[in-house]
Amino acid sequence: MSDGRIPSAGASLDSAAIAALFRDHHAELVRLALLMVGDLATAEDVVQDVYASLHRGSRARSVEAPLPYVRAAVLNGCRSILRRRTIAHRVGLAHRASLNDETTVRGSAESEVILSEDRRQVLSALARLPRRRREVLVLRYYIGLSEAEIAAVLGISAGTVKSTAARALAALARDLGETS
Amino acid sequence: MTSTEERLRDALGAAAARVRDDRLRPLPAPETRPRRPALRRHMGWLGPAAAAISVLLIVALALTLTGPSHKPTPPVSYPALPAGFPKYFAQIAGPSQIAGPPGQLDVVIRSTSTGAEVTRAAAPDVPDWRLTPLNVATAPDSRSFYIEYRAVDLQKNTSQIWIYLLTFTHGGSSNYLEWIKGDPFPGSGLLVNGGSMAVSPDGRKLAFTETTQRLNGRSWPDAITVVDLRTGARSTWQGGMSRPGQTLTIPAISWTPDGRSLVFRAVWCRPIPNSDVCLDQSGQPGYRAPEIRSLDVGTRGGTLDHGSTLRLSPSARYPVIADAIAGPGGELTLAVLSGPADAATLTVERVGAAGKRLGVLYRSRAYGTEGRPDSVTLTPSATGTYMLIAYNGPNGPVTGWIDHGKLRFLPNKHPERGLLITGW
Repeated sequence: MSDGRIPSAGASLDSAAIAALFRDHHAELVRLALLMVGDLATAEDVVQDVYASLHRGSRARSVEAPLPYVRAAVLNGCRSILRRRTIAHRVGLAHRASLNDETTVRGSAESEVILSEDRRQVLSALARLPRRRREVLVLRYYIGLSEAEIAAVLGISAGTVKSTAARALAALARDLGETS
Repeated sequence: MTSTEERLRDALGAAAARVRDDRLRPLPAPETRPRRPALRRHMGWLGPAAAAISVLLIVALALTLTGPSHKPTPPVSYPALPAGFPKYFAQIAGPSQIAGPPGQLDVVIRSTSTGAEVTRAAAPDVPDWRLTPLNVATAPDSRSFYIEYRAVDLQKNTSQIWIYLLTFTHGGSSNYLEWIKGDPFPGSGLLVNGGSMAVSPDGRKLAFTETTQRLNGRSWPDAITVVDLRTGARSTWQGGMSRPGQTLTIPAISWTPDGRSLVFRAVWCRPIPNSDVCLDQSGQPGYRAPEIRSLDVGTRGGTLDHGSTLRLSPSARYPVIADAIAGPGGELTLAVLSGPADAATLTVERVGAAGKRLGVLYRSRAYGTEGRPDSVTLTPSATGTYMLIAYNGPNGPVTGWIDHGKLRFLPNKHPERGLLITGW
């Protein structure tokens, strides 16, 4: 996947680069966060937090690939949210928002048409997967990253990406009642 | 590609399609000043060392020239501030304060000890929107500030309320504006008197006044909204307190120290069309006859009359209550005007929960503005220990903090002296 106007390897992620990166990829990052945390407001918060924290850095960072770096930061933010929700769930303050919850997005009538029953089942099954498997599937089948690119975002080896994706797909198929 | 993969790709695409580019919440606009290029890490000691050597050389040179018997001229000094005193205060200032077009106002943070500008935040530059700061409220850490902007959609000519958190680092050389959780708030025009905003003592809630109606060409704040800053959940109290032929307006709100209630002034008056002037029952301008009410924020919204209780109303003892702040234990700190309009006396005093007078904090017999109370503002520090008071005296604006019955002025040798201090 191309990084568009984002500086290439070894670039300095200064304020101008951060602004350009978010201008070009804001929606994609929010969608990535939405697929992980399940509700739009939180997804936007996560992306805004990442944006602010990158600006807050005391000096310009030199990163090999800015976009994977930011995607990783967004996923980290999502993990923090999910961890907090797990704790809240344990103490009885369960978070109800999910990708199937119409109240979590603006324009519910529109969403009703978009999300068919079949899609709801798939998203529910995806939400039941362990976090790492869910991340691999979203990065592969929504963003369309290669195994090497997913490995760079998640900080794991390409082999682990491959095996995790295979296990995740198998688990998803089982959950959806498919034979293959 | 297997059936599972196809279904997954389709479902992810459909779920993600619900995020529309044109409806995304705008990103905050970080404001940074250019920084000096950083020295390389292993050369970092050079800066402090060079500074220390320079200071030593200057001191040695001064001693050589003046000799030991000569008394050095005392440097410009500022009074020492007590421990826990707020370090910063905020003002809304900018070119349009003089002659510029609207929408060019900045939020300026200054040092309470020197008056020097610490940082300045321009309104976020959002395409097709014009943002104007309305209010600033200080967070309990005394170094971050919530800014309420009126955001006008230049395409649709409608407005919203956008609230950002201003933080700064590196002594103010960099500052950042972050959007608070949740969607924008509805807005309908520039609030008369700018409205009011306050952060709860625990820093978890933000309260501000809103308007639900435009009347005679102006928007009068007549509702109170409280936002949970962690979740974005919001509660609004409005309506239920109307009086025939009069308009309700809420000029000021403040939190009780326990964070469970808000104290607000409710004023009923008759607005003059297309002006910010409101006439009371006697036909005089200003908010002379307010009720001081307490709003339980635990009621999570509703009408103002059911959510609030009357704490104080005008009486012979308190003919004109100009402002009121809640204190610990249920007492109130009042700014009261008394005496003839051309020689009014301003008194700041504490009143117990049962209405008993507990003591006078400050008294001034030099109050200007023909005895109108609308220039008086009491602002407690985030810890509640210190009280800032601003009012129009006969010779111009007066701003200072109350210290054992006396007014101690904040430094005013800066370009924005005379402008209201909106938070500290």
